[in-house]
Amino acid sequence: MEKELPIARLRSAWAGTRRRRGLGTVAVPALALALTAHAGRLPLQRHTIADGLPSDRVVDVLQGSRGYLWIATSEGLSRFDGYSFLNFGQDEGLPAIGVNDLMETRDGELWVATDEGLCRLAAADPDGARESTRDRAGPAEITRPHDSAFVCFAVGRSPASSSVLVLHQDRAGALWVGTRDGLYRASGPAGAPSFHRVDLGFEAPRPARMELRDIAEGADGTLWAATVEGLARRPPGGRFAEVLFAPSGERSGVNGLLCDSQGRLWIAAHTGVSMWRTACSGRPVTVPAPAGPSSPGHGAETGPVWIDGKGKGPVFGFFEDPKGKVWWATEQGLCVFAGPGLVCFDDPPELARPIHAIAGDDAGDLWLASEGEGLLRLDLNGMVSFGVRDGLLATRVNAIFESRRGDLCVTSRETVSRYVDGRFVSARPRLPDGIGELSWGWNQMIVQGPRGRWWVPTEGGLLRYPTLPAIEDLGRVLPERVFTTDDGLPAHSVFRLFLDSRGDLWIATISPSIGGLARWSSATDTIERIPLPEPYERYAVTALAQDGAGNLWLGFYNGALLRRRARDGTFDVFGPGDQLTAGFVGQLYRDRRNRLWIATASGGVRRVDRPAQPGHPEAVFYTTRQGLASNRVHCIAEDPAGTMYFGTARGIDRLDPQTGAIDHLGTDDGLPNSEVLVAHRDRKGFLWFGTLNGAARLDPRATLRKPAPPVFIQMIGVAGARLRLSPRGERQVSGLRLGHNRSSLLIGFTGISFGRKGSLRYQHRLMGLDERWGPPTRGRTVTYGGLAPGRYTFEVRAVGAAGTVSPVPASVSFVVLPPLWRRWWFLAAVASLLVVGLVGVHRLRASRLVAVERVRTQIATDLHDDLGTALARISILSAVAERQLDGSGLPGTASGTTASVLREIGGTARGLLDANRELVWSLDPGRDDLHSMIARLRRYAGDTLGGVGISWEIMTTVSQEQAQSIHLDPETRRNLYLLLKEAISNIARHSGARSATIRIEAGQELDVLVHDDGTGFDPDGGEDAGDGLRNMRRRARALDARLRIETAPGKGTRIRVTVPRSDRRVRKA
Amino acid sequence: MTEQTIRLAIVEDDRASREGLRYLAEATAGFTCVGAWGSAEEALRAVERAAPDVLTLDISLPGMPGSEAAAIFHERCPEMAILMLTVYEEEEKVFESLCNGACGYLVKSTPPAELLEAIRRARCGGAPMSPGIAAKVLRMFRSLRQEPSEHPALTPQERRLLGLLAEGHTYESAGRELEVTVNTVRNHIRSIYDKLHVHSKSAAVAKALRAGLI
Repeated sequence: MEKELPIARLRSAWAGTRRRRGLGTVAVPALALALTAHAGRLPLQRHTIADGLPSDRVVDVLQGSRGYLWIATSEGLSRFDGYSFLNFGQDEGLPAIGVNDLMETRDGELWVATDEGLCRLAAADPDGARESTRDRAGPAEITRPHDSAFVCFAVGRSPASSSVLVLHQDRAGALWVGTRDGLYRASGPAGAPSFHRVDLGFEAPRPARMELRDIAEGADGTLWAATVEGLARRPPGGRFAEVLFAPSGERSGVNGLLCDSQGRLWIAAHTGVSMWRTACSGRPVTVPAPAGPSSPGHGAETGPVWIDGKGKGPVFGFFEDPKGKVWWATEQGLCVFAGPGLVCFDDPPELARPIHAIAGDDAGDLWLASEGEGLLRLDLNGMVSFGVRDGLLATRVNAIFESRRGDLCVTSRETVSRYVDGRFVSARPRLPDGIGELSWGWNQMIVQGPRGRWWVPTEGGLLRYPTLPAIEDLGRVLPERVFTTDDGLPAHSVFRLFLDSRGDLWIATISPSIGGLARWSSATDTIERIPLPEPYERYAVTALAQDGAGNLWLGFYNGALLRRRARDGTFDVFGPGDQLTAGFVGQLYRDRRNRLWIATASGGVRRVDRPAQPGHPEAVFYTTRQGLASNRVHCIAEDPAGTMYFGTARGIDRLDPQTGAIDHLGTDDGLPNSEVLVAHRDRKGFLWFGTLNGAARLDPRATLRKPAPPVFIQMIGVAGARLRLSPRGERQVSGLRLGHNRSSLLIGFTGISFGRKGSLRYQHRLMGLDERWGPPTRGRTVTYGGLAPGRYTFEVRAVGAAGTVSPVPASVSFVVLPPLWRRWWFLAAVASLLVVGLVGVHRLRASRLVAVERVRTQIATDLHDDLGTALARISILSAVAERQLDGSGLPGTASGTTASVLREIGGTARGLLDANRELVWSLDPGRDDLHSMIARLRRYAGDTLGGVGISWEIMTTVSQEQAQSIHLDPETRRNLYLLLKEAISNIARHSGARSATIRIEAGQELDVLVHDDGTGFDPDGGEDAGDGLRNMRRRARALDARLRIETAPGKGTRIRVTVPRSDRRVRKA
Repeated sequence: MTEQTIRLAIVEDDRASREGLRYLAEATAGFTCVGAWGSAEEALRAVERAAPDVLTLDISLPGMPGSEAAAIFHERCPEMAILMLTVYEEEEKVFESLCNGACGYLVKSTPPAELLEAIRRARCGGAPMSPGIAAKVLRMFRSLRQEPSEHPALTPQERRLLGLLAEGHTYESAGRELEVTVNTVRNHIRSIYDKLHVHSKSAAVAKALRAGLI
């Protein structure tokens, strides 16, 4: 007997349930208890040709290592990034119209199996150039057009052998290629592989065709090959041999194989599915003897076990999800084998159509290659939604809560439902006569009291049902008591119910004229009206809660918030108009840290950290400004980790109070409807949300906060022209050079995120313009234009939930070239030309100047030398001549007029020579200090005065260092020196003095006093004196100096020269 | 000063001056001119044979400059007194000549009669020392003092003398300051020159020279 699980019956049970749908009580057969929790509806997304997919016939799916989803369809290859599809067909170089299989090697190379050959997606260089597809054509390569996106190879010799159906890379890295005509193994470099046919070891009778269907690899490297004719196995390092696995012992074609993580081999044969427990584990495999079909227990350990029977439609393949469940892609849709049995999906209908392949992505989603429905994504971690088909009778959920027993109850205006094993059991409460309808309120409605009695609010009063175990019992039993205004209710229509910590029930009523609050006391079993401060009696209470100190908080329709102190029943009034509220209060929620959260209808959420504190509480605000999707918040719930969930008109906002990060859940994530009215956390930790169209359940643990995905540059447009980028996704693009007036740059980027698109935003910045990251936005393109010349780097990163960012930003580096006339080389050329020109001109001038100067110097030098030599010559020759006149005695002593004339000549020459020497000395810049002049004067005095026997003395109060530091400019030096020389020589010649003193002082002024004790002279008389005086006066004038001459016959002479100190003349170094 | 006839040799490139000097020397008692050359090269070829007592060497000569030639003359004829003749008293060249072995220098603006007299007195010490040159000599000895050397250093009196000369004193006024006679001054000068010459042969001097003392 085939061991078979009751799938067929399950299916028919489901079908049966559907057919018998109607109003009234519905019971689900007990068989449903065997189901695992995959009832309810998981979020399913569908992508079709309308979304850009090349074909709705999808053959295979694969998530690449970079995150892109690669899809094999009957019309080519497609790449999906979560937003759009990038298609590769024959126009892009695909040799055939459709793709049969996809594989990514460990190096990240993408291989594509087509009916006309095996292709590899050509890599692109970082700057967008394409890998050459021509030059190195190996023996197997198919020549493609130059700009083909693929490098393609023929595999075997026959056309059928180039019709590639399946690809596999084993753990050693070898590439196995399964074709319509045999299995090949590739060897050689990736650029030019060669293919060798591998014998599959089928014994006689050898099949005519060896069409490979699938390849699987065990833990030890054992390879299993599935063909149309049968199954073959190759032990590690060995050769293939056929394995007869069917119970009948005959060959059975195999469509699909899977080695799962437990070492089991799943075989989808034409005749059904077998599961071979140890075949992939690496343990020795004993091929079962071709015996009959095994009964349960027989051969279970050693051989394959049949899972399905005939007639269920072929199974195309398998997939193991991260949790270890094995999914089946079948002709009848998607099924999953978990634990005891197989569960197949028939709802939504896409899941019940043929599915060819299944893949998983890193978010835990399931991707399905559907034969006619396109590409499907099943969010395994998404919210499970429940609707009418799951037993919820009416779907406008007005409350979700738990009964005493722990049942999760969902109610609507007319019905109550209880969640049982993946479905709902529903009922309509039985109402007594006179009560027409249940209350139109929501959120805090039916309450089960501590003793198990049920309180139900209605339009006509408050009903109390007896102790009942399950809520659907309300449909059987009449209430035991009805409370009306006669019993103390302020109005008939009961709007809200709230059970406080003492077991008392607070009742809020509503009517056109008043709101009203009452309390049923459990001690007295009576209702007492609780008066509210004016004017709050008029407004209806929309929310009630207790804070940690037992104070009762009331939220009102008009947005007011009242706190009733537990101690004395007095009220604190906050608002409306207070900051605490804005719009009516949807819910008051006390979190596990006793903070009070206030959901408002137009102001988002407020959080009060210490609600029990007397005085006005301080609130923290959460609005759209902080990231909420809407300021209209209906309800609040909290998960066990402390994350807050706000139900709004636009889905669920999920807040991490620690970081303030907010992300959103919407219909994409499985919410049946965006308007979330009520929320509840059950005692198992699941979060339930009630919407306008059904309920949804979220497992907060399943939705992991993943780090922000990496970002890829998708598109670059420069001045309207698109750049070629690698199809595998570019992270960094560089080397762009934009012309000055063609610098508009369009950059498109994306972070790969399937599903959680709502929470993925991007930040970018342009380095070179502004180093700061911009605010997170959803836009995925950015345009720059009119940038100033310079270097820029554009960086973009994704911002995920909880504010995480992509670790490494994607970047585009580019240079905006300055206009031609601002290019560096241009400027440099111009500058160098200028420099050369200037230098040339300068040199010309300089050389001319130098030439002139050289000539001048030459003249001066020649003059200088010649003069000196000539004068010396005159001096000597005149002495010679004198000698010749009178040969006796020493030269210079001859007598006579001629001799004296000659002597005069010599003397004149020598005088000139002396003067020349003085000139040279006075022009020497190294001798421009006072000390040098004093020394010179001393020398002169010594020669002149000492020569005639006048005792002399030069005194100075200036120290040597000081004197050396006082500098005189050449003119001053010359004039002063010559002036003093004149004075001294006068003394020597005319004064007849016995002694002379020269006193030099340098204070504020340079003061020189020449004093002799000679005869003096008449200042106005005598030619010589006149000449000498005139000279001295002239020099003094040139010096701007004061010259005082005191003399009188017989009184000696005092000559005083005072030179004012000025920077020009006399300066201190 | 000896009363012997002084054997004078002249190196002077100006022909008229040279012949004039020769004539004057010959015409003056106590002098005889043993050679008159127009360049150092010419003189070097003949000087040893001529064996003069005193050589007047023009500082500016064509070809080898006088200051350089002084070194060679001094080497060849250590006993010969070399007197540099200069028009302008270029201190660098004079100092260099002194270090190379010259005994002193005379300026051409000296009347020829005095010139000959100065030559007679020359024998190191007769020549006046310009303040600049005196200062240089002083500096030179100071720098030598820093180097360990066995060569003689200046006596304090000599140093004082040099200092006075550097201030412009003549031998006479310096003598007055030092309260010694002019002859003593001249002896001091001679001694200074001797020491300078000795030192000038040493490497230390060469180094100091090269180090820019001049």
